[in-house]
Amino acid sequence: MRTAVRILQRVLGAVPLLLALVIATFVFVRMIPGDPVDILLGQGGNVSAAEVAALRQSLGLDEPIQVQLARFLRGLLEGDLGHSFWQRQPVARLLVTTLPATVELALAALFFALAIGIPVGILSAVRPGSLLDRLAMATSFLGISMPAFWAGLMLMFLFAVKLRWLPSVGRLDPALDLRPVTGFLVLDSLLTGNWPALRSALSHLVLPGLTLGLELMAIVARVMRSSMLEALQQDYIRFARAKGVSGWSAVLRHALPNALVPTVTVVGLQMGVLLGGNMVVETVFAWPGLGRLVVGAIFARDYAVVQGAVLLYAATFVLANLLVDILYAYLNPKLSL
Amino acid sequence: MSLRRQFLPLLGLAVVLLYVLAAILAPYLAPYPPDEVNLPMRLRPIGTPGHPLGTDHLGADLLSRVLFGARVSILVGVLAVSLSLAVGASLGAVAGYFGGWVDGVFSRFADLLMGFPYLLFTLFAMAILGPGIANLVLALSFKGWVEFFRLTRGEVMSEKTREYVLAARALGRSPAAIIAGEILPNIRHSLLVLATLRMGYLIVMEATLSFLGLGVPPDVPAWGSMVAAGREYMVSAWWIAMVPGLAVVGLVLSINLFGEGLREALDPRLRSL
Amino acid sequence: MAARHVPVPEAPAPVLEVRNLTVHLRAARGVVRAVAGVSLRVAPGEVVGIIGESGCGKSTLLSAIMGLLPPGGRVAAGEVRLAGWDLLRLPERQLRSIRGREVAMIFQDPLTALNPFYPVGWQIEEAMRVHGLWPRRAERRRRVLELMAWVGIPDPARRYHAYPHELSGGMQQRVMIAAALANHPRVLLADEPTTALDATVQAQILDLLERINREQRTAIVLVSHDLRLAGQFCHRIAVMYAGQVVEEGPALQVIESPRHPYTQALLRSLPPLEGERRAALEPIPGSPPDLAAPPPGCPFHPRCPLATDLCRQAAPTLRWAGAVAGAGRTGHRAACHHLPDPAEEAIS
Repeated sequence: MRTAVRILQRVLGAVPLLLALVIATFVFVRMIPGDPVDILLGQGGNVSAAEVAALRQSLGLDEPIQVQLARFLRGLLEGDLGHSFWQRQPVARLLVTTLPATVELALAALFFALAIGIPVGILSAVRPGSLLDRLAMATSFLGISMPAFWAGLMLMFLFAVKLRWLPSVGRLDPALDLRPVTGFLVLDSLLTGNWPALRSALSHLVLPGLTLGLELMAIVARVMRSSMLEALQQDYIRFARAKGVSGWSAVLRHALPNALVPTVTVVGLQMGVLLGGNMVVETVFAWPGLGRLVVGAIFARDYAVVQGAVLLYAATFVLANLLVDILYAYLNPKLSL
Repeated sequence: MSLRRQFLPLLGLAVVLLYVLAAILAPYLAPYPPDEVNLPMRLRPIGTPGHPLGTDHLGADLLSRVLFGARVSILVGVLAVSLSLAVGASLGAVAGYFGGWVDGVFSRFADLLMGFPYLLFTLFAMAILGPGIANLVLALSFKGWVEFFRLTRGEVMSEKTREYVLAARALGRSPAAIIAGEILPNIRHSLLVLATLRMGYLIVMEATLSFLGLGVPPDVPAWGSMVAAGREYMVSAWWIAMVPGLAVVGLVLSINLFGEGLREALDPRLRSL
Repeated sequence: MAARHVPVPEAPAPVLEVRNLTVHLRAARGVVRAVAGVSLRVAPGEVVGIIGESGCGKSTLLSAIMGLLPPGGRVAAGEVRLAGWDLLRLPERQLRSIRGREVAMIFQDPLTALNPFYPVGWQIEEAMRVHGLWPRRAERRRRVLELMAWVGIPDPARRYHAYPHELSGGMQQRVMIAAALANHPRVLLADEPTTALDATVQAQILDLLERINREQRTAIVLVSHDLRLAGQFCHRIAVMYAGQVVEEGPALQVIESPRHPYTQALLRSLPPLEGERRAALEPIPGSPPDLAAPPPGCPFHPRCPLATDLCRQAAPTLRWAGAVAGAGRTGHRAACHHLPDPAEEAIS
């Protein structure tokens, strides 16, 4: 109960920050050079000034900025994020339809980063200086020095173009038919029992997920290695061994939970890597998510979409940090939320 | 072990110097102008006579384009790190030395910026500023100064209670003279290490922005935009995307190797990558 | 705390025997001989003290007995026998079934020796679980609570779920002792068990150890830097210097008539007791030798007031010393070239 109150406090505490962010973006987005009306009508110039003014008025762009802001904020309270004149859809619906793709991709990336980074870090720490350790640390160094967009293209070239093991772009084989339920394709195919679609959705996740998770994986492996090395030197490991606990049990049951604390902290701090990186990865793999929507909207000067996406990114960021804090408190008995 | 410790950083430094040399001498080294269109010779693979790294979809020589691309990456990297260092270190020194509300305002602002994903932030900044080398430097520095600010602020706060600073104050020297003359020389190693390690990161960032089309103008050959152009040809002409990407990896890896060596030699306390 | 002034009579077969043990540790400056040819016998139910300054190899000796040397540590020679098992030649699997069951160990700082992630009850129960003597969980749980009460932890049912940092230093030490006693070990190795505690708690923990020895007949090897404390608590004492045992004997004899100049110096470095004719504590001059490059001859000669050319060249071995020389295994021995000849002593 007390924990629930604390969590609520944290969420409410983020509201002023989000509000400040909304206002700042609202102003800044309108500083992007180029007139949306021009872009919408094309650069042809065979449009009359009256038509331009009419369109401007219909989009609400003729009003002073503070009036536009007030209208936007009022709409926000009612869950209305405005209208995308580029996609000709309400922004809220656009976000709702693209968000699942992005979250699914981010979860896949997080999965790869942890499922590979943590074991590699543990094994490196258990046998420091071994061939595996040196190989892993050299690879993670390379991973940090490699731009994600290029790593993605090279993975695509190797596994999709040359070896033909995995699909290159998109979320699902277009020949397959999947009834949408939640928008999460893996979940939808499970819910509808559509096994070919599940297979296709999972295989489409591998390359973009790996690409997006690459940097985080390298960081996780390094942090895990150093915190495991430290944990393994602690007296509680010697005492556990003195009780008769086996070497691997001492590593996994005694050192690992303590070593996870710094790792969780770092993963929390690096959540932004997943959020920022998805624009690049979604562009490379033609992934129909939020990141690709935002990049397109920036080029189209679609204020409403950029505005809504920033708000969504920020809210996700706040939420992700909160989750990390909860996990952190669980892992570290000395702290309470 | 000790041989490896010195070998890799020195190798990194040597490669970085080669890149710098290539960037400076690009007009003399490049066999063709970087933007020379030669459609009959388009999509030629690596090893084509006259085009050792092949040609792109317009028939431009990839070697020439990569050499000129080094100019963009190195220029943006050096300028963005310098600007970030200058702004971050000055504000950090002021905040750390005087404390109080000055420190409060700057630190709060730095914390706020720290919370944003770098790429997201820079992407929006570039969207507002528009493409261009100067704009890239500005956009990268908008957030890039924060790390230098934090480092300098922390160091100045701890150094200012040391005896040599107290002695200088007792002698009646001005705060500016003490910061510039006494404190900064003592933290220059830490700043140098941080600057080196940030350089690689900012070069990756520049390439990423150029890849997304938000970096340099389309007519300037940059590694990121070259990879973007090659994306369409992954099946038929993979080298168009591969070659400029390798150039980025080679440069950034070398900078990071050198930076790690520098960190171990000068400032072991500073957190690793 | 009752002082044990009467030596244990002729001991039966030892429960723990260390023969000529030499341990090498790899350090930054080369190989260090942390333990150099140590022999030690512990009879069932006996309390043996191992005394020396920090860095004399006493903790390494315990680690070697447990088979838990740090990375870079290696037994170069010697034998460790525990109730018939040849510990150094046992495969790791079997060694694991002995650790915590036949021989247990407690550490200096209970806060760092207990895992901060788990409740203390879990950590005691784990010692029972890994050895499988009590396969049923409910039974283990009941035994943990009994054990916690027995070592003097009030309200065990509540403390079971407490985390180490929530308990006082004394309670933490009791938890660690309970975990070590979980399987009724024959031998308990205690590495400076009271050093991290304040004086009153120290006395309580020593009382508890004494009760363990008396009621469960557990042999205890107490490692300490405190010669006087060991003199009160132990049956026998071995004094270590530079990885070697330099003096060994019944506790009372070692304290009252120390034979080795190092033991004598150690006693003088303690604050004087009431009524003792001594102005103040006299620290031992010089510092312990660098074990990566030990001095030739007697390791103590650079700090010894009696040192002669003989000491600088030849290393002395343990010899019978004192009035009860030749009285058998429990006798008093020291490794010094300047021991008075027992015969001469008898005349004078």
